[in-house]
Amino acid sequence: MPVIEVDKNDLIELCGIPEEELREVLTLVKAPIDEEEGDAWKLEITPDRLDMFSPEGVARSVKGFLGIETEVSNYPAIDTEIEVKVNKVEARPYIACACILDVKLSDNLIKSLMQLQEKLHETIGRKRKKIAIGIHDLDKVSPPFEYLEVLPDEIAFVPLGKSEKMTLDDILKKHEKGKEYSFCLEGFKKYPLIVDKYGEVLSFPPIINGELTRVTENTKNLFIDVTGTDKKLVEKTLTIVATSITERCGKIGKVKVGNEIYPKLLPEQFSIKVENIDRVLGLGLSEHEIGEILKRMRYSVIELKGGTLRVMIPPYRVDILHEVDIIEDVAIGYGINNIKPVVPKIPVPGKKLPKEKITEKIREIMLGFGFQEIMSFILSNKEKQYLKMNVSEERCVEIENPMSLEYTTCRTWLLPCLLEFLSENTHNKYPQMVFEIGDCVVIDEIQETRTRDVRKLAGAIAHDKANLTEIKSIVEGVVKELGVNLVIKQYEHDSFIPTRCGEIYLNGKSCGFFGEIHPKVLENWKIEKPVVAFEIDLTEIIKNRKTL
Amino acid sequence: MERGLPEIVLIELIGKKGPLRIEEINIESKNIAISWAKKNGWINIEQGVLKLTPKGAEIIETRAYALQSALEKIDREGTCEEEFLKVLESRNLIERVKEIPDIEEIAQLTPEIIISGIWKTKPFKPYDVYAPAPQVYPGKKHPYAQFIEEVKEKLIEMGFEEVESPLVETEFWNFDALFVPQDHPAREWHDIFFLKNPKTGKIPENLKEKIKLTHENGWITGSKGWGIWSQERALRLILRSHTTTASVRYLSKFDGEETKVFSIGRIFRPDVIDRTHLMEFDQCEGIIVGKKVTFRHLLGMLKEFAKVVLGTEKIKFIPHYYPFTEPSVDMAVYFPKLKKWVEIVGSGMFRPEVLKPLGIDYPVLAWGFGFSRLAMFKLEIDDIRYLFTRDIKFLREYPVMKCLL
Repeated sequence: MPVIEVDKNDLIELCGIPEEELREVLTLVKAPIDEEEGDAWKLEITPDRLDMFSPEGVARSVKGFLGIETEVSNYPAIDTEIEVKVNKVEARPYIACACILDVKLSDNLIKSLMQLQEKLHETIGRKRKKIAIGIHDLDKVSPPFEYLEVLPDEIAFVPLGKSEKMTLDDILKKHEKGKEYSFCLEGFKKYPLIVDKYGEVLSFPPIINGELTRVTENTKNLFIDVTGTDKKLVEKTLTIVATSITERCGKIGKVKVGNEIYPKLLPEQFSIKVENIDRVLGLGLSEHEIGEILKRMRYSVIELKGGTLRVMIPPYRVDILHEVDIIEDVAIGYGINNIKPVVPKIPVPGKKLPKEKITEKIREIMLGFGFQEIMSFILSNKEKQYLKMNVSEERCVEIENPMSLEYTTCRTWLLPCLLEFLSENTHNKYPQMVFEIGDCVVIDEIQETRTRDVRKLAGAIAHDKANLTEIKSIVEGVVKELGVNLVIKQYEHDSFIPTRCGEIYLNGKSCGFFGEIHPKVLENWKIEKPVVAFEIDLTEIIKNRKTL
Repeated sequence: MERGLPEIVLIELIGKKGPLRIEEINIESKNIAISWAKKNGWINIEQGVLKLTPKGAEIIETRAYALQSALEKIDREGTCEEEFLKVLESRNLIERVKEIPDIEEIAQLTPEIIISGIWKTKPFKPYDVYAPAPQVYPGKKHPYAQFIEEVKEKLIEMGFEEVESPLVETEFWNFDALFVPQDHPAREWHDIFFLKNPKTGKIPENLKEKIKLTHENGWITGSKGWGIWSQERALRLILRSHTTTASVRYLSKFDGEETKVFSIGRIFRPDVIDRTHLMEFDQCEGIIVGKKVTFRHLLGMLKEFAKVVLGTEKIKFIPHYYPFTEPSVDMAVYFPKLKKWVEIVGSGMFRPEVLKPLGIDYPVLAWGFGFSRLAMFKLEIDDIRYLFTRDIKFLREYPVMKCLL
């Protein structure tokens, strides 16, 4: 969840309401306080509301919710002479630009602007690959500007924060931002660039701006560029940034980019039926009531007729894909905690999965024998699963992007989990009798997921005199309760001592094994007591349930 | 053992009467007799007829007679040669009785003391109930397993039926079917475990086209869609990142009846393990499919859930966002012990972009909660790693009563 930091007093001033009221309302408009430290509040913004990634955007919603300022704002916008010539740029085909004139760059606005840029890059910008924003001091350069692509070593300029000229190639290889975001340009022969009339570089999107257009507290007029791979989102992002700033100060200056005029401030229209709203919310609201609520949610209502509302969506909203998105705003505007809950009456009986019922029964048997239940991770690794168990590697589920070498595969059997457990309890009192019932994942090519979850049961006993007879008694005792036919056959398994291992056949199918763990395996796990153990695949028993 | 060893009785009988059919034999412990006689090689059985072997004949003469006479000797004198005692004891034909010692007072009560009646005449040695006894441990359910069972019981009480879905999933079911755009940050490297082996799975053809179009342009769902979808991404196998897959897989086979289902299962997220994070943990998730259910019913369901499962009526609702539900809402619950509100349940109504491709015309209320986190609160452990502890001492000493919900 994106978190933005705001100065409490700044937000109170922007909203114009007392602190206590503000605290309450923030939770109701999808911007609850997550943490606070003195005057610094961290607000958790839901990722659909990109327009609230700034205190200005939050204030806009709060003021609407409380009815202080309703409907779509009328943003002051004037025409300018500024033009951007657009060429074909393969890496980032789309660009949209705007100016903000007569701004007063307070500390709060600068911080907010940097944060908004960063949060948009992280979320909708997909780490700048999809969207990147550049903000410049307009007065340092001379329009018209040009968006073009150049070869990596064709042009050199002084990037933001440096004093020497660098080529684009050098920036990607040596500059910290270049290294961080070079993946966005991977595979492209030419790189995007924004230059002014004299060829001075404003920006090398999505990597870095030029030092030339650095924004300072003395900056009076801003130039904003948004570039990316998705036309719609490029446009929307520009609108979000431009309207966010003008909530505080300045006016928008329109820019001709290619054949388009930006930013696009004309609200989109949407028709929605009252009956649809009622079907989802069940609140029985009238057209008029809905209209009033939507105005507080910063929509404008154009028409209320024949059970249909025609509304204008604020231009900075990117999350309205479907009428349900507007319906949610009706619920929020109504106040979710004002809605009277109704317990749904759907008379169906509850039921447990047969597999789980059987698991519970088997668990009871093991407890009856005095075993302690343990629970382990499904994630494991080949060393634990095979090498330490003295068996050859099995085909298993392997993770492409593991977080650590400890967890790289899914377990195919449980016994290693039990031995690992015993190995970590050698200082604790013996005898130790432990069992686990859990899922393993095995490769099964015919399945849709090419794997199958297998529920297994395994038990282990460790003490000075643990032996084959002891574990055989347990196996026979367990199986007797399961109502299946048991046959035991001599078995060779490298985790067990030769001749001291039996294979378990249930209803004629090989389902597991038991025996005395080989000292070689015990040594691998640094266990100094004899261990006897068994493992049973429960698939057959679960399948067989009906015949019980 | 008046008549002696059963197999001796048997071969004596055959010795006397000549070969006999099984059904003609009428002696005590007939089956034992036959099996021992055969095992010893004293008789042959052919088509149900028992014949004495030469060895059998010889035995009648020698060794068995020796055992027999040993038994007779025991009858008379109470003992016999050690060699025979061992054989007879191993076959449970005799039992050695310890000699009753001449004791002054009774310490450990023994069968001999009870049978002989000595306890009637001798005093009991005084024992000290304050003396320390060694600690023993009962076999116990894992506290977390107990918690899971308790929650399941409550949900079943509320009329939910349990369903499941596989641990390894295609991105198609884990995300696409839930209308999570393919370039969503939650689908990236740092949020999902992708598989190296096996790498790709299969997806159902009948749903593929509908879901593809829904992502691309909204199809007939009334949505704008996301503008992108690729089959390559859909086929990728991952470790499931939520149990919502169980609900959506269930809905894909929906039969038109109103229903309530839930699932509890392991999910996986790449995280560094610490006090509050694991790479795998459990989630509990459920849906209500009803012809006329609304957002008010969703809140009603959450309220009931808080009452039945969490045992509290101190709740509040907070607007929230999930890619697959709209409207979405979180429920926060007041935990008196922590003295704070904790957002514990996420919920919402499935988006039309999720339901339409699956052919569902009814509204679907969905809810889910971080099961492991709730378990931590309820089991009063402050480190999530204890849910999968490797410490037998912790498990042995964790009292069962603490697991009651």
